[in-house]
Amino acid sequence: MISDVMGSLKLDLFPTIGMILFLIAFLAITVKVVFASSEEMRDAANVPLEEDDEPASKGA
Amino acid sequence: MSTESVPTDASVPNKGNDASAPLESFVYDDAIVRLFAAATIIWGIVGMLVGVIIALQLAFPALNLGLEYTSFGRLRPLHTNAVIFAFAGNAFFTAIYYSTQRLCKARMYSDLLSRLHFWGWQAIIVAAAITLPLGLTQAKEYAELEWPIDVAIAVVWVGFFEVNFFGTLVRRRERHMYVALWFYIATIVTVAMLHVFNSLAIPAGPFKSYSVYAGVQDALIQWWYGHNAVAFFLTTPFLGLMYYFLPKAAERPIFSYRLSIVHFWSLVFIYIWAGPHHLHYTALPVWASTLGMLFSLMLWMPSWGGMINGLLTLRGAWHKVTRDPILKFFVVGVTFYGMSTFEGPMLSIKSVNSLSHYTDWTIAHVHAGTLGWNGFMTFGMLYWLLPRIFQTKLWSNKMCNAHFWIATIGMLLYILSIYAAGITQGLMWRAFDKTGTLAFPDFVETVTRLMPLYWIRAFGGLLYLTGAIMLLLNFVMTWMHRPATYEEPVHTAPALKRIRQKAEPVASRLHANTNFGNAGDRFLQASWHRRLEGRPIKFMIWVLIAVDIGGLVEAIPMFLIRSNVPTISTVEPYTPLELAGRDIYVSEGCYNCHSQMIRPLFAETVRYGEYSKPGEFVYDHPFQWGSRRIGPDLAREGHTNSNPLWHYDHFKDPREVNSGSIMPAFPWLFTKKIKFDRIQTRVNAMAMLGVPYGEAVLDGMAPELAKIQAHEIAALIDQAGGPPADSIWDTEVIALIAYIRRLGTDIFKTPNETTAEVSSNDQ
Repeated sequence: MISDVMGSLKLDLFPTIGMILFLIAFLAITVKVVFASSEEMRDAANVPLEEDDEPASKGA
Repeated sequence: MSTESVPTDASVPNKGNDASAPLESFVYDDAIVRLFAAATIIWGIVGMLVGVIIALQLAFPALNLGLEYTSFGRLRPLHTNAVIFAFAGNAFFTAIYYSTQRLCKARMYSDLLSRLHFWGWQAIIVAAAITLPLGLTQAKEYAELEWPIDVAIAVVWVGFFEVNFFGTLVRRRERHMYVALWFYIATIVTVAMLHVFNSLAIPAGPFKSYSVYAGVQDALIQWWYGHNAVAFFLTTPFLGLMYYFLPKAAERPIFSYRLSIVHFWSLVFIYIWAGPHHLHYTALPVWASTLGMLFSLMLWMPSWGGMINGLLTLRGAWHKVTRDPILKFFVVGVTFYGMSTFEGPMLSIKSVNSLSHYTDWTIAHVHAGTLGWNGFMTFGMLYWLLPRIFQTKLWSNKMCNAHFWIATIGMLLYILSIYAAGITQGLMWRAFDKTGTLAFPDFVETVTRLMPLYWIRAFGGLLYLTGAIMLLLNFVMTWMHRPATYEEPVHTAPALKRIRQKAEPVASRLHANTNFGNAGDRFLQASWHRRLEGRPIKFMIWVLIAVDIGGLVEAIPMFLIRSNVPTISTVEPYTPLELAGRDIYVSEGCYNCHSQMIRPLFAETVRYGEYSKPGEFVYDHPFQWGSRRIGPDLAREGHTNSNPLWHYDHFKDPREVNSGSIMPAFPWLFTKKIKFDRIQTRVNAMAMLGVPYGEAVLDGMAPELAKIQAHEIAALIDQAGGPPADSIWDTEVIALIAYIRRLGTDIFKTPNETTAEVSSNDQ
């Protein structure tokens, strides 16, 4: 029953809908990164470098 | 966990925090990092050693040793599971436990959960190392482990690891979640989803189960899982590793944080769609495999964005690469990421795939990715970590450098020889002579030609393994020079204010009194994404939505539209004895060398017979299409070679039948007895899955039917000049022969008049 119903639903539109959703998301993300402030991006990129974890100088 | 409101000297920078909040002090848990690092190296060596052994078995079959526990079909899954889940898994756990604490400015949420995760994961690996050589397997590539271990994986991954990780994110003291954490989030939630859905099975004993999916649907789900195991187990966590450890090693921030954001979202959205490219020209509907191909090609974009971001992080620091072996490992690792993510989409193009699929080309591609990308990124990370987690100098920089060169040479020998082997295979399989017949009709001709390349491959693997042993030595010696007690620096940072208190509405920068314009400007200021970056649970939900879209788009039509799998009226369930034989086929790992899928390509139909139809596999729990042809395809074996004595002799000693064969002998099948007492349970389990077994489900009926058929086959062997039927009828080889003789035969039967209908194939 459900197979017949689904078979008549023209689900070949599924990939197209998925693609449109991706493009919308992609555009939104692209807008975000293009318009984000350079300072914000620089701060974010530097997060791993804030930690001082230089190796110990002692040892072998 | 140490959390006190006392200031100390070891405060760390903090942005976006409440400056007025009291400082909290905390200590990182590096003991757990040391445990995972040690496990990475130990299991890496075990997995690589098994890889070298099975590579040698291909060149020298006697190394199968005539033992069931060391045959290629059983050891190959052990190799793949060990290097993927034990080596690579422990490697990125090491990365996650080290970097997450520092990126969050917080100790892991729970030390207990950290230990449960570590020991639980190692117990799972040990269970895999025991059960796979015993032949306990679900025969789904990279998901072979039987159901009790699958349950344990779900508990350890979700119950221990995921809770611990998200608990840490929630209690972090750094407002911004750095991009490495995003990749970890994608890994954790997606692997959980893939594992649960691909592992759904009906138990038929303590260590036996049948996949709830069958045939085409099982293939789709398996390669949705299989491909995304590559994506979310071998790619996203290592990208997180790259985004953290490469800047640390290069001592400069990532080249473009903007690019990393686009990289992340594009990758998690697109990757999940690409699985069906593993099933080109199979019985999978053409729309699904075309969709997989298109999204695979789109993967070029984010993959190369990531590679460029990694390599350009070294801008202005290339001079360091010449003298720092850690950066050398990272540069080669990222380069191989770029190369294998270029090659992957290329192999997904149907015309290329028709040549490469089932050949060693795929094996070369996989090893370029795993040895080059996963291996080298892991080695680079470990060498960077060792002085830090053991608080002493690396024992030998020279040995580290030697490791880099020996591993590079070994990897190149490995992959170049196997590229050559794969392309040779593909071209020989499809070659015709001037009379229009196959130039190499005997499959074994295409095997013996590869022998020199197999030897080179084994030597290359041995070099790579040697490098890993050098790492182990460096690890042990560095550990031995550790201080008597580790220092545990106390860090301080103010607590993070709750988001709802922190969030301030973003004002429009426009002066015009137009609501639409003001809303648009607020959107362009992108505060929505900043809020998302600050909320781990919502971030996780959006990642899940992104990855679910691709999976659902492919799976829903496949499962619910009947026309995708046209039924064939003459296709019937396997008899109880054939089912027992199929279980032996699964247990011996025959799918590691033999496909059961004839593609609608002229060279294949000439060599193997009528191409495979979707409706032929509706009772195949699990499907056994395979992904590689070390030996010939078996989809029509029952139709083209049903001689039981030939199969009997062939299983006993393949080289007695065909001197060029590299198939191992299976002497144990001639002494082990068919377990008739288990057959009823297994038939009933298949019946639960909808396989129409009729009266065979009645108590005691299935073993009786199996015994009758076993006597018939033994009699045929006896009459053909084989051993007496009474001496062999109840041995496992008889059940396996019953299954082999059934393969691909149903489609040639005469349809029942009342149900005469063979649906046209809509490939």
